[in-house]
Amino acid sequence: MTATRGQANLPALAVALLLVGASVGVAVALAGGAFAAADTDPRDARLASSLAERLVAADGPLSVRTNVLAADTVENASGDLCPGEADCRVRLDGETVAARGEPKRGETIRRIVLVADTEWRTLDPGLPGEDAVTLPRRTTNATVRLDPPAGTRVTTVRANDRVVLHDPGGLDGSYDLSLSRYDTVTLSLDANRDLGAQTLVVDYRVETTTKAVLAVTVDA
Amino acid sequence: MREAGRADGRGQVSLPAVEAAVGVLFVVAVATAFAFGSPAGGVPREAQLDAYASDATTVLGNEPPQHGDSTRLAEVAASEDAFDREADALERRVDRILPDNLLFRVETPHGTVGYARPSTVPTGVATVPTGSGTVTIWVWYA
Repeated sequence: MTATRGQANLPALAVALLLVGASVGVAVALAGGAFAAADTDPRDARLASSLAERLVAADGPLSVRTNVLAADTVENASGDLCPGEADCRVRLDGETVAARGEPKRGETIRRIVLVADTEWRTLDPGLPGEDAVTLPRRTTNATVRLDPPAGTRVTTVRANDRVVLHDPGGLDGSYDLSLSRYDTVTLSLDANRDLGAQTLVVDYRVETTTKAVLAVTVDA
Repeated sequence: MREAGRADGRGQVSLPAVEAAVGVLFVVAVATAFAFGSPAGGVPREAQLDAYASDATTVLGNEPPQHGDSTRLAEVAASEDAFDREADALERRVDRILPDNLLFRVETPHGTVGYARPSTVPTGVATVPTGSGTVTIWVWYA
């Protein structure tokens, strides 16, 4: 009876062990790969994003205000920006502005910034009848140069009805004003009689911004 | 059963083979967990997208408006008319600000501009309160 049974125990056992062994091998290789991939050194990503955060912050080393970099500071930037001993590279629209070492792998984070170029422009309004002038652009800094004709006293300068300069004895000369970025400013003068066309010249600071992508790569 | 099997002369499936099959199945199950369950390293996509979105809101929130109000975002959120007037300019501006590989959607209290928001891809989001309501920006990779 037993002779008719088609059971082949020993070869089956060998094949079974081979199968289990092979699949365990594959599984261990997979697990090893997964562990290697998971161990990506979060240091790089953390350093890159914190450095990028610092660069775009309002009080960052290159900033004018949040997310706005000053063009001239960017030109003079150096690798000292890099944290600790890490290799890092700061690029603005693909152009390296600061680097230390040569980050070969590392992590990159990108931020959107504006690059601001400032220049001073001069407005000679030639004062029409109402002794008031509206600045063509919003600005934070302006310098008014007052040169009233003889016998005329300019007592007050207002920016949008806010008194920014006042001297009962008469204003004459050059004065710096701080203005608000959020308002279009109209400067008006109070004087004891009609002002001539040459009385007021305003120099104001104008910002021209271009957008750029700031890419920070850190390889610690 | 056994008697019937013997009577038919039927071969019996070898027990080690069955055990091996079960064992292989088990090992493969564990291996699958490794293949799918391990975290990807590097900068998370969401973190990068959130950074893009918050940068875009900051830039827009600090920009002078086209006509009135204090900033560009305050202007578009201010009223229905202002939104209708500024929607195209806002869309162009956001398109300019964001890198080319991103799509976006901007929601203001009076309407939205940008593309339809997909539900299947990672998205970065940033909200900014303005004087007349919240403006939300979503960005995602095209």
